[in-house]
Amino acid sequence: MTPPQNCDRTAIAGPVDLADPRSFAAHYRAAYSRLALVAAGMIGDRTAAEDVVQDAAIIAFQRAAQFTPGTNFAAWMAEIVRRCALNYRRKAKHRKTYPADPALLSQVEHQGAGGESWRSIASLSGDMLEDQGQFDDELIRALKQLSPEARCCLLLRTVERLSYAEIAALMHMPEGTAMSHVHRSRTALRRALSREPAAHLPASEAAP
Amino acid sequence: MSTPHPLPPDEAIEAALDDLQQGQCAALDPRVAGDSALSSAAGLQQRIDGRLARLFQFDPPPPDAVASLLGAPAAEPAPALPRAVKLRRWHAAAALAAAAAIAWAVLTIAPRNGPAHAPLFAFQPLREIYRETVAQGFEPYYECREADRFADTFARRQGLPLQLLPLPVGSSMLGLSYPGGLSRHTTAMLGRVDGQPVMVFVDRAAADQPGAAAGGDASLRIFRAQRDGLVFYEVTPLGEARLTDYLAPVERRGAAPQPSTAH
Repeated sequence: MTPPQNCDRTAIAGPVDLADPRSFAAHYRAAYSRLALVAAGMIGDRTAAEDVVQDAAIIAFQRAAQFTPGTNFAAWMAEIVRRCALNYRRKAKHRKTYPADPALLSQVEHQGAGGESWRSIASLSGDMLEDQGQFDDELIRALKQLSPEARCCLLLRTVERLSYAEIAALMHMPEGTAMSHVHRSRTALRRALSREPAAHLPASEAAP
Repeated sequence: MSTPHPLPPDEAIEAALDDLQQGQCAALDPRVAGDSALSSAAGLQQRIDGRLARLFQFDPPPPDAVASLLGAPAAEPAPALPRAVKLRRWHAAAALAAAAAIAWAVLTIAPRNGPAHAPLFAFQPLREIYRETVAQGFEPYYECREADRFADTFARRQGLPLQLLPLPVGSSMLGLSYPGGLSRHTTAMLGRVDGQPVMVFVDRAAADQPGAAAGGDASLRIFRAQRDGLVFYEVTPLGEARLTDYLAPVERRGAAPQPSTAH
């Protein structure tokens, strides 16, 4: 089993004085990518994830006295992030618009119409294949079909390469449950993407 | 429509895929490598994992941004790591050498392949955002009713806590949104004046964009004001700015508002 790349980050958890803004900031930055993935997993996309984490950080800092020294800071904050994300989702259910999204979506839409300029967005993701944009769309769509908890586990495992024990600690669930979420999610994504033959073909071949 | 590809159901394959690293397909269990269906599934999983890792890459905010968020000085102490994980000097030297190599690769290879990280934000004329917001129901992201949180939002995003002075009859604040516009951090206040949807975009003056008021539309007017290091754009179907002047720094409660200029 390949060890997770950032397993040493958990070492940052320990007796800390979170009331000290500098100490809080250091631990917050160290845990940031994991917290953002929890937010993205709970929400279903990455657009508002960073705002949710910021809101959670402010709340956590105000409640720093509630943190038990010696316990896992990331896990403590992840719970606050999850609550903030749930709150965000609850509010989002009752509104029709996500003001952060239209700008980005409009930007992508406009640039996509220009052919070559599509690549400037896609270059965020590195290697550019003929059908990369379409593949990403299908992948995001399939990802949204997963449960929030399953998405969190999958993203933490795939993006951060956390161990199942670390995922379990962050998500407050048994290790076996985390593993099951990851495996089922991967199977679901593969099934969704292998069922879409057009997603794997260049546009010219997929056309009737 | 083709028949869905049969996927390997057994746990052993899942475990193999779980350990899969990019470029290590050949090192998979011979059962996987020798079976075209399993190998295909492994390849697809590799591609999925690669895309997820890139699409959901989050970088921590810079220390000064965190300090600003928490209202603290930017300097951070090094996190106290247990002795067991402290790097020895030669480890640190190796890490520095690796970092230098990566920096060299980024500086010499990336430019040839175009920008590795295009900006996530692109300026958008405020009229466009207004129209999109109205078309989508004119509902705020954040129904901010508490004065403290209202002020904190602007303090966090624009560096200055703002309050909303009591509005006259006929005007109301619906909430806050983060629609972009001038910068990624632009904060918009949604309101209604005489029943009409009105948006006030607020950002640091340094983030102001010359094309903010672009986009001809006789039915919409944009009023601009600049004060306290912030720039305010009120996009409204009305003939005058009716909300901007009620946004005031918390410490300057009751300060005389300055008139907005029309665009």
